[in-house]
Amino acid sequence: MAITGRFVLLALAGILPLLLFPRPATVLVWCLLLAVAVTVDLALAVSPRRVGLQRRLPANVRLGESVTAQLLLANHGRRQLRAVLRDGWQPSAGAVNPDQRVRISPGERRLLQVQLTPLRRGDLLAHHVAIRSLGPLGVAARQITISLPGRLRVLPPFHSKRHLPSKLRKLRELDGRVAVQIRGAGTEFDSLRDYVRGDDVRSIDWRATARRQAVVVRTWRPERDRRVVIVLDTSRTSAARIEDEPRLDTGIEASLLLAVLAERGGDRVDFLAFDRRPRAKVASAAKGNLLNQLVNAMAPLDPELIEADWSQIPAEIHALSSHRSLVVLLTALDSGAAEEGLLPVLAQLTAKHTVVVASVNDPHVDRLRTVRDTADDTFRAAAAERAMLERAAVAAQIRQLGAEVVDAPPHELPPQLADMYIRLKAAGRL
Amino acid sequence: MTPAGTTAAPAAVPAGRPGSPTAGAAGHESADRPETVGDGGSVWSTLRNRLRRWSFWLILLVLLCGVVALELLRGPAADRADLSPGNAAPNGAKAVAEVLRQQGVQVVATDSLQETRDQLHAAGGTLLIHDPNGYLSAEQLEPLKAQAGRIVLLEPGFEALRALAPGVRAAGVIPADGGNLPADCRQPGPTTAGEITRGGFSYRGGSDMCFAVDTAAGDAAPYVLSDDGATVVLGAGHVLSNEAIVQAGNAALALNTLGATDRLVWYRAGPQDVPVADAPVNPMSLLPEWVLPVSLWLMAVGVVAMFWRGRRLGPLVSEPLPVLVRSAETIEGRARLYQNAKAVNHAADNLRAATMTRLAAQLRLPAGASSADVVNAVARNSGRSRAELERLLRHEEPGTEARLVAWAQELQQLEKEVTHR
Repeated sequence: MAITGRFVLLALAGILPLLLFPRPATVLVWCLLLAVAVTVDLALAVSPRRVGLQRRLPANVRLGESVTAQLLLANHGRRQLRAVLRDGWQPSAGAVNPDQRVRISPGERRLLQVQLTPLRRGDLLAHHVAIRSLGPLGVAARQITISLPGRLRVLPPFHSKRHLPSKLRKLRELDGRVAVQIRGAGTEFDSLRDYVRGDDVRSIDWRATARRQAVVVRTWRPERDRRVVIVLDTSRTSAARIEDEPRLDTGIEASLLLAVLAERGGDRVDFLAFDRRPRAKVASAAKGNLLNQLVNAMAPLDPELIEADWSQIPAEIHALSSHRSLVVLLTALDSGAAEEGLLPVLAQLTAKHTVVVASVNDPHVDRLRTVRDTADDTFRAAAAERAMLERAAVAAQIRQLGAEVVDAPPHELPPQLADMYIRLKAAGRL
Repeated sequence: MTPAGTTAAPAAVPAGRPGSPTAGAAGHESADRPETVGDGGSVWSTLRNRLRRWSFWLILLVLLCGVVALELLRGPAADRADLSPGNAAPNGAKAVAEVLRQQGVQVVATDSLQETRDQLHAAGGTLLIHDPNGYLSAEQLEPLKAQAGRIVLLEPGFEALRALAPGVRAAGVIPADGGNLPADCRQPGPTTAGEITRGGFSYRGGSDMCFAVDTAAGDAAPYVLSDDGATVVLGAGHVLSNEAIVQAGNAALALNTLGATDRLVWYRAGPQDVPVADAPVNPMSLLPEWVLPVSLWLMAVGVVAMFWRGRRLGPLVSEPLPVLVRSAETIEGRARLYQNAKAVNHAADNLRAATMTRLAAQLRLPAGASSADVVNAVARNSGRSRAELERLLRHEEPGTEARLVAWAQELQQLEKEVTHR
């Protein structure tokens, strides 16, 4: 049960009789009046246990967008229901109007709409609905909490989508499929066609020309149906927040851009999120929209506070794709973690695959390096220099082992990784 | 109260069978889940749960109320005052009062001036005045002299002596250690008693002094008869106490002094005897009658308002927070380690190595270039002398923090010069 502001006002009104008749009997009478009002109200309020509830939730929403969660209320009581409801969403669901007043006639239903603007990626939960059913006098209410679980999946925002058109144009240039007729980069023979003015004379196929009595050129295109395996590290190093977002979220953005680009480039994309065991997996063989599967797999990922077990990675990659692939490792180049975990298995990977190690670097470190005004600052600059030297050493070691390194600040990592892919594809190294 | 807050107009749809809802808005999961009605409990189960949850506090409240009620019902506190005829403790005088009663003396205990006057007016008798806190003034005491036949002043103060025994003066405290005091006077009572224990107050003057002790200013005694012989000043109050009455001749002295007549009015002065004009006015009596009940009621309404605002609509919902770490934290930690360990040269090595690496890259030197090569290249590319660069880039070892800061800034300056050329 609960009392309302009206009850407090009614109690406050007791001052008037008390001013006129300052006697204990006045207090008794007024208390009795209040007790009667509360009893009548509680007796006449519709039992909140006779309210039917049903949740209707959209399957998912992208982070940054708003969505409406619906709550269908049915009054199975015999009197009109006047109630205040609270939909128990967790705070990061960003419920704009979780508290709502309703008035439902007996036997009717009503649809409540709760506006949600999620603040975080992942699975957001609603646990319960609390109903406070007011009596006809509005001085007291019956209140219960009904367990009514609901789940809304908030997908990663894919901000790096804006880089997609420019990268796709580059990809088409490789393919030779552009408005301006160019030769097309790549190593795979595509077709023979008649020479037109402007074609590179070096691409003339003399043998075919001899057969046809017209000048014929060869066209080339990049290899297709290569395999791209994206491995996203979800271990403790991914929990580091760089600028505004954790390393994990930057990794998700970069993998999404790369995956979409590679799919358009005619390659097959596999995705694996891993620390000591696989956290999410999307196989290229699966049917349906790749982007959709990827964002659904990535949405519930959270950084785990454990060290990654890189020794399992070669076997996991082999399970995904037994052919030569482009393996993209999205991890951190922090000296300790990388030296002990990543470097020992990298040789094993580069022997079979083309490997790209992508990592977010922190522009803040670069700023710390240049501030040298006080002793505090200078020691900090020295520590920052140390960290950058170690990072450079790790990157050099990785390059020596035959892998490529993409090391960029958060907002530049997705496009730079996409460029790396296009470069490797153009060079025929996939 | 309208269903405000519902963003779209809340469409009232006719209730079909529960579990088969009408089509939801587009884009929403079709509601396969059955309708949930109630929380599986009832009014009584909720009540039981509440009681169980609050049982500790309820029991505590009941106990508290019980204790308060018991305290209120137990009536007035027991008499604990010194030399009170109703006090059976060692410091009381119930023993002597009871013995007097057994001997046929009517002992009347009073605690106000008016009551004392009434009692004396009714039947006369001996009057014992005990005013340890000096509430009474000489003007109040004076009329009693006419009404009482005989007066015993128990440990009187200055005012009482002035009013009732003008010739007697206070002479200080008699130390309690030492032997008993012999009567050594002509009065029949003290003579019968023989000797009493030491203690109490002494007085001098009057017509006779018994149990006298020697003091620097002459004799003083705990038992003094006033000039007119009608008032006994008894400084040795302890002879009446339950604790000391059985010792020496205390009992004989007490009984003889107090039991001389067949009626004894035992008057203990209290604060209510202070003249009315001097008593402070009770401020509550100046306020209107309704102030107290209304303010109490307002307090009660305040408590009710707390219950109103304090009732939450449903339990709190927890937020599972992912772990996040600031990425530059390790750098900060390492910087503080350098500083605490005063590792100035270690920090300098880091700065030097980083600067050399960047300069080498800037000047397009091969990866294996030595520091001498870098110095040569920098000398060619900047206006600085070789010797200065040798010192700055190769030999400088800043021993102090101040030197480190200056040198680090010099390095930065050099880098800028080379970069902007």
